[in-house]
Amino acid sequence: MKNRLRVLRAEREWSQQDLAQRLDVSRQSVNAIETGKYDPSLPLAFKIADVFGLTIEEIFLREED
Amino acid sequence: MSESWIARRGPGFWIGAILALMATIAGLAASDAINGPTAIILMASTGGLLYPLMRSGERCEERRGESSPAVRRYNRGMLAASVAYILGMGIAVWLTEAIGLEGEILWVIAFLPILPIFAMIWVMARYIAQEDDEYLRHLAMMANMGGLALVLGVASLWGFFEEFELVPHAPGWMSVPVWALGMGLTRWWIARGNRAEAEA
Repeated sequence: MKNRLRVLRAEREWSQQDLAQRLDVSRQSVNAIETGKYDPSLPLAFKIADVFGLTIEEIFLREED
Repeated sequence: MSESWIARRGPGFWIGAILALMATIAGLAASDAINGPTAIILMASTGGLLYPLMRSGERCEERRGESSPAVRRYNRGMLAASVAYILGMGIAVWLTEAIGLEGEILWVIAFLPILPIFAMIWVMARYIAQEDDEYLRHLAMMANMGGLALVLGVASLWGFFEEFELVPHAPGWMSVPVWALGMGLTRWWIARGNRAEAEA
């Protein structure tokens, strides 16, 4: 699943560690999600959406999008 | 030896040091330079290097952003179980070979290294239950699957080879080191993939 995590993070000038602290996860988790190596669970996807103040659909994209 | 010198050494250094010491002690014992009980005591004392190995591993995990409270509890649990395993095995071998105990008591002696192995399995299960970070939990599950695959593959392969008398008998307790090797190789493989992705 594609996502806009890296762009959204860059817009806010957050490092992976900054985002990891906001989400209360490891930096490696943020890296794995950003690079598409790991798709987060629904609760974590909602948490990510809340941190950025966006909806899940505005962050995570279907492969064909 | 200063704390900073110790702190700068990576896990590879400590693994190499432990293996080199074990090989030296085994060589000394094989050449009769030291007797059996001395060799067992010296082998058991290499367990003291497991603590700096664990700490260097934790520093790597922190650098890579793979640390969590559950990971640190897991590391300490595995360290305690590993030391108990080395001591249990050393005492069991010493009691049977040096003292020459026989009979019913052997059932009790055999449990000295078995119980720490059960403790390792429990520490792993507790880690998976307590890890709040779902990606780290996913990594642990993948590593366990890798360990299981290696144990099943090697045991089946060796079992059939042994059935046809192509290879010597392998003791059942080897399954735990093979499981640990499979977990380690899987973690290395995943980390290698992540590094390649980061460099791309």
